[in-house]
Amino acid sequence: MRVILIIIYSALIFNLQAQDRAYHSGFAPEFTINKKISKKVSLTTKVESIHYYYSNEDRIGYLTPWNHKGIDFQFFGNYKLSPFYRISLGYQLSYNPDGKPSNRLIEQLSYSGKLGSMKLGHRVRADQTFYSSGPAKFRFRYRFSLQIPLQGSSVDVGEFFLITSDELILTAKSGGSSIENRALFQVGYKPFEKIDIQVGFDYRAEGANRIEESESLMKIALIFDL
Amino acid sequence: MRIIFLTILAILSFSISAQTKMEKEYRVKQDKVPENAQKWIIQNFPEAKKVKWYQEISNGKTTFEAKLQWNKTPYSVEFDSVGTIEDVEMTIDFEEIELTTRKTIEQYFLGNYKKHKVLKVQKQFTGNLSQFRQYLENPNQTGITTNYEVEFQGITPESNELYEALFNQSGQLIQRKTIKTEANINLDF
Repeated sequence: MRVILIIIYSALIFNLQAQDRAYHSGFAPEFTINKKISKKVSLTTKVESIHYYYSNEDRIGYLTPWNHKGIDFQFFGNYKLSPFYRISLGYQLSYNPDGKPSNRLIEQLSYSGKLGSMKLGHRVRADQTFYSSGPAKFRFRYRFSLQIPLQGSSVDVGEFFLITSDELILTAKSGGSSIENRALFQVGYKPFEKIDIQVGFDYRAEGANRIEESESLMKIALIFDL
Repeated sequence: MRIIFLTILAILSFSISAQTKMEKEYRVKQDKVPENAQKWIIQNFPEAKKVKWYQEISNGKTTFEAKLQWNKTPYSVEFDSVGTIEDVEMTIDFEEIELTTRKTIEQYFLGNYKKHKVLKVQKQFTGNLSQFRQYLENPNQTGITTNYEVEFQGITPESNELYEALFNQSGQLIQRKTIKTEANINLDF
């Protein structure tokens, strides 16, 4: 099962890279802290930065320093509805190479449950992005994810695990709509009870009627759940 | 800036590691399992083909667990550190519990929760388990105690939690534990 997933994912990336369309690859470190405030309320902060190191379009030149594509700062308030469901309201501040920040509001409903020894998650999210110039962007997203323990039937301290997810994003803005798919495959390690480190690949493909732009990102995530 | 970040990370890591529970469960190969335990499985479940072995270390205590399927039913068999059988758990549907016992358990749910949902039921066997297979074929054999471990979601006007409850053979509650359900940050964000 695990080997099949890796093969499918590798084949997907190779196949999509080879085709004639805008393609970028890079590195995306992210850092997340979650803090439980009460039995039902928690706060989450996430910082994600994207750096391009290859682009078949002329995108590298202006991406400085560190070929920076952008950095996002996210803040969420989360409320536990039941043992399985949570709602979250969030705000994202993004800085792009053009120096003009954008603001995003995020609403999210998430589910997490168990499937044998695996944890599975469903996430439905809506977001609205407002730019300092230009029309606003509205997106509706659904993500399915799995956490698979690699040693034993649950992830304990000192053990490795896999995280894989697939997300479909529908975007609407004045001038048209588009669809995006994001596939993520990461290997995680739990050095301490409340810390996870995850390394892997995030493949994103976007287009209206066909894939017009895609990117492969090597992701490194550090997650603190306090 | 880098030094400040590293210092914060080191402090956080130290305070977090100090709170770490010493509980670990991992897959082990059959040759790492005490011979007594292996023999018990062969004697009682000779047809079981894929037996998965796990070792659990909790508060310094080591136990071994075998997970297997027999007659399309999942079994979980727990042994102590030297391979002495401790208990056997068999996953069943709630409807498979004997009618009068089931009615008593349902009364408990109706009396204590506004709404409930049974998520998993395990029939638990303890006592003289040396001839467990014969017991399955002839349940009148004495010396084995049967309990039911029921995982359920219980909703009251004040709470909505997951619980693990242990009921005895007649359906009376022996103990109830709240199952900790934390958000999975890496699945949610």
